[in-house]
Amino acid sequence: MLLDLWKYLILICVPVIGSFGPFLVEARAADHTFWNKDMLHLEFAQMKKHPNGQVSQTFIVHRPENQTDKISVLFQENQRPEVYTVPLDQNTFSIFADKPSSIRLFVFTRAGQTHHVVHTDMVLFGKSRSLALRTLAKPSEAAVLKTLPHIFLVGSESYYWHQTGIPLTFSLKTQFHPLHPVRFHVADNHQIKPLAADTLNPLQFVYTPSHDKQLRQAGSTAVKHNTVFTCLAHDKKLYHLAYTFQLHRSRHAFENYTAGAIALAGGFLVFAGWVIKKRKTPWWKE
Amino acid sequence: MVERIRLFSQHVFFIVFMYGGRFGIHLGSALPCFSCPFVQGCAGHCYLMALQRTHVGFQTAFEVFFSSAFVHVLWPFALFLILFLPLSKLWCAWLCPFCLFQDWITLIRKRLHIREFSMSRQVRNRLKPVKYILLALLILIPLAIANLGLHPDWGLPFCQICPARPILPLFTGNVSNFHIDMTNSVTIGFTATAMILTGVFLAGIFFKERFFCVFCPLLALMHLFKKLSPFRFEKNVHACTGCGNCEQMCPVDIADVHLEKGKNHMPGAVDVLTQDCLGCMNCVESCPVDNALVFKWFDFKIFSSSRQYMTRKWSSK
Repeated sequence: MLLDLWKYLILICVPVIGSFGPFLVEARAADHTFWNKDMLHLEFAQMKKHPNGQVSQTFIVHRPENQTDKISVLFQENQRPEVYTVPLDQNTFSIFADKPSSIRLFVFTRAGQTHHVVHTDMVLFGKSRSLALRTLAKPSEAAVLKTLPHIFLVGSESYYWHQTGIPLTFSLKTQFHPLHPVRFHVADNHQIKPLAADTLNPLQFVYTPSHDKQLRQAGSTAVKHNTVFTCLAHDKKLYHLAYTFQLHRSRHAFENYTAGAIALAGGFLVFAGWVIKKRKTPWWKE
Repeated sequence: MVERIRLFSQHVFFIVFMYGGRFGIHLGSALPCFSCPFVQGCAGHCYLMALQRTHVGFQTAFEVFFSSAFVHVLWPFALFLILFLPLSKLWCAWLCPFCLFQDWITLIRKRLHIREFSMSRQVRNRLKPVKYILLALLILIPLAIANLGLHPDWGLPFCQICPARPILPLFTGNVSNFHIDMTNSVTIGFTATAMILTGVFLAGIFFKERFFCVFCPLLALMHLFKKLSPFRFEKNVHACTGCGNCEQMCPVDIADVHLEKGKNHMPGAVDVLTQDCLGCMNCVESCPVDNALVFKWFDFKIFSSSRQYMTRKWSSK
């Protein structure tokens, strides 16, 4: 009798829960609580100039919980079609460049029904005669890039020196239409903030990074990295997408032209006054 | 005649260096004159920037000196020598855009009939080491950034205080370098110094011809390699009458040409291309003795003093 009760209970509950499933997935997709807990994300580690002139950028990979597939690291260089793969050494990998190289990097994996994709762009100013080692990805791996949903930074190919205080526009590239309205968030100094959608294009999000006191003190080449992320649901699958980017301090935000003019005039007047005071010869030619 | 050719050359090269980039001219980043990289659309960069930039950051860690990457430090230097050696200090008075800017200011002063102030030989001699100290600092500071952990905002130390950086971009309508950068204490220090120095040099250039050249570290660098150049400036000690015209006409008041007597008073040609000489040839133009002062390229005379030339020039004025 008790066993029959369980049977009925299961027969009723499974469809009910099942029918709610997509909504649960969507609800999950709309919030940002998954950040750092079970999401694949990248951390820019050391950039190094090697004695042979090559430059390398090392990354630390933060693995998602319950990862089922291996983590793939693929990149393209200088907008060429060749796709290269990089082996992961535990949780780190490095990309080398022997010449100035604009790198488009994708790191992706799967955890159950959840797909994790991290994308980033960077420029490495290598200057070496010894060629950097490259391993071409298998055609099947390379083909994945064509359909891989990802966040991208609009205009990132033409400009790489992103600064605080200057708006950045992010967008989404997918082969499908997400089930729910897309929302982007940014992780900035361990704070999660929602991004405002562009009024003209709801799939574009604008983020103006705030000035950072540590960056201001650290020097013009110092960087911090922020991550823009979103979660999409489609066909009972979840997509955790992230875009990691480096930020420099603002070059022009703290320029004070009034103070500059005062210092300039001060220097001019003090020196001119000194010359006039010290002058012994006549001033004017006859 | 020579003065006119020099003025023509200065104006032509001013246009080439300042605007040439807009017409596809790119002369590299090792020019031996103040073609400022902060001028948008310039045709090439002053070598001082390359000298500092190759040392900035990790590129100058001491290990680089013993690696193949050092070729990237040496290459701009080799290019600098290739450009510098044929013309030597003619780069200063005949090609440098900042030199021409100073000449314009001097022209305004002369039109206003204001006399320049005179510097005593003692003051001149005291100021001579300043350009070498600046040259040493602009090499050592980037090394200290790479190896001793000096704050990276000390990068490009000379460019940050160079008066050409705010002044030359004015000719392309860019006034953005007249500011104090409040980002941090290092940037405040550098930009405030730069603005004060720019004011001081503007006043100095107005009251004294070629005032900036006295402090120019590029002139110091060129002087270190002048002996490698086939370009010579010689004085025939035996022929010199000691009239002192050369010192009077020199824009940087060089007394050495006038005072040079040769070793042990032995007659003959003596090298008088001194450290402050800019190669303007004013002294040769004003020398009343035939062949007393000679500019040579190997053994070919480029220009030599002549009584006839001097008489014709000054009688026409």
